[in-house]
Amino acid sequence: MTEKNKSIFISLLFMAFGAFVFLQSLSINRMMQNDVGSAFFPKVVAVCIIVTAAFKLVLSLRGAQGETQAFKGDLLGGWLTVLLLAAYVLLFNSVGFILTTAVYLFLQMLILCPRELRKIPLLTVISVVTPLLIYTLFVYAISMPLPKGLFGF
Amino acid sequence: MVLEAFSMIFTPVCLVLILVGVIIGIIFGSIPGLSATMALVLFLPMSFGMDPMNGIALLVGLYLGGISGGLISAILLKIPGTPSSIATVFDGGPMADKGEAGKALGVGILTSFIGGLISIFALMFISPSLAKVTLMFTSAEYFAIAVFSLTIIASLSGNSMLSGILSGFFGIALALVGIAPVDGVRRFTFGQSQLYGGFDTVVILIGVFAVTDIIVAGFNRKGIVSNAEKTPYNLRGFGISVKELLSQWFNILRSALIGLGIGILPGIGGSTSSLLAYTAAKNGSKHPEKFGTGIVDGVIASETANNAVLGGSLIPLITMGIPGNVATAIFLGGLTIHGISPGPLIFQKSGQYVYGIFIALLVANVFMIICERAGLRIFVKLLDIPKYILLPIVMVCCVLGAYCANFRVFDVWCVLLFGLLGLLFKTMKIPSTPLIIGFILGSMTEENLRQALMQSGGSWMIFVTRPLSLIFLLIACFSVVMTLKKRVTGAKAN
Repeated sequence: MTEKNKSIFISLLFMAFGAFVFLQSLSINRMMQNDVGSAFFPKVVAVCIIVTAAFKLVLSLRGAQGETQAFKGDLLGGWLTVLLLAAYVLLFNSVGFILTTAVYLFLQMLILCPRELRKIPLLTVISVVTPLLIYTLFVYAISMPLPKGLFGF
Repeated sequence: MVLEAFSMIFTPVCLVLILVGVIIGIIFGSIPGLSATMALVLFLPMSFGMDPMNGIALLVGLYLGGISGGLISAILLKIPGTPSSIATVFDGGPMADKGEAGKALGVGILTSFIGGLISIFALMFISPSLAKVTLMFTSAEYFAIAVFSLTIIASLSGNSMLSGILSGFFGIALALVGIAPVDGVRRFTFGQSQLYGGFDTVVILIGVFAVTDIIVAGFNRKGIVSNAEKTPYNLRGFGISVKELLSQWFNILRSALIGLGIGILPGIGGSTSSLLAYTAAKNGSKHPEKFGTGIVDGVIASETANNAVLGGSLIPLITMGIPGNVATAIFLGGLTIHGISPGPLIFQKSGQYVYGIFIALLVANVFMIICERAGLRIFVKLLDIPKYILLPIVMVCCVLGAYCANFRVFDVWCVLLFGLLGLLFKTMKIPSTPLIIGFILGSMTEENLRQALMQSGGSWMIFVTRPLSLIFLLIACFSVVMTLKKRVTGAKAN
């Protein structure tokens, strides 16, 4: 996407968001007589968003096209991280803190670590020791409960 | 009474409790997601069983340590450990990139100490008269301060002011979710009971700073390895010469006064104070363009201000019994359990404990600077851990922090969603700091706007007829005009 198109896209996205906030606030009722009501401030914010975004849109339409920037990043690493995080959060409560964290840590380090630097034994030790340490500290030392999950301790 | 207070504090048990409090506080403050408030909540029940002075001393240590620990992760990981250290990231992060992590930390620790010291002295000597100032502030003034603080978005937006403003408004919109102030109407909850309480600041902070960071690291796997070179580290004292420190005296004093002022006013908080102090330092500097590239002025402003909040926030608490933030509210609980009721009569009724708190604060401040300076070597070592090991562990701490905010997985999901939002912002080159500023100030703005309008019977004149409110609004206009002017002249010069 060129810089110009990016800017146009963002302006439109924010305008849509502003419109959404405005429409949603139409259904908020006023509860007290001498108060401006809970819909007033959201409407102000929505209008400000729409106006600022419109201003940005006009500016970006007038601007030069600019060069297309090809995405140089590592798509696989990025999306695997996102997926892994989602899986971690999904299983966090039901499977429990210790197990999910150990698996998450191991896989995440594997994703981020370049092949030539991978020391599997070290990564395994870190992934096992870290959650155990955190769990002991939280649950036993400062009695802050963490999801137990499959294990009952 | 003062002597009695001295004899109560300078007992081995009490000193050890302050030290333990400070160390635990620093740990809680430095881990993103865990906060001074959480440390106080956890140790409050423990303090009940202790002798009153010992219990209070422990809480004092925890509070001071918790506020001071945030700079460590802000500088080393570019993730603020507490919302109060957001502004420390702006220059502390780039300093660490340049190999000056030790200096940034050293200066941050030293100025935290100075900021704390100034505010503790203010608390000790002029708190009754300062407390009266609080009473002059009504909703109209609070609204004006909020508007003024929101204008800093414009000067912190980097190259794209419009994107920054949009990001700020987006943050304000996020603050709308949940139960509305004043009348308690549910808004933007879409039938989800989880959303009734709105989003937690910690959740947004962790999402936008930490989760975005790790996802970006995933997209840039090769980059994080080449950056993992050993950081050169050589530091004597605090990394700053006496001469250099003295040349910053005005910055330190101004930031301490901003922190003190914001601290005294209940309900604004440390994050606003450090952002305001940073902006003031930037706008008042001879070289504002260097801010954000890693200069020590920025770290000094932010860290002096956020520690100066501490003494400030205790002023309305002790003299009037008004807690200005959650941490001081818990502190209030700790005092009342021991039969000490803050208010105008506290000096007569429990004078020895008030002086005890003052002395404990001073001792804790000294312990803080000693512990952090001694730990500096270890903190900097964090940077030597390869990113591919450090980042996943930080991520686990973040998930933990989000979960412990309310003990529900919903917040952990939110952290992930805000992480993705942060990624979108990053790819679209929208600055994300304004989002956080907007979020923090959004509810304060709305609540006080509505309360002020109710007070005036719907007349907007209240904001210009009350002198303090008018002054803040005028400063807000002035700051916007100046920022715009700088932009225009800057654009012409290019």
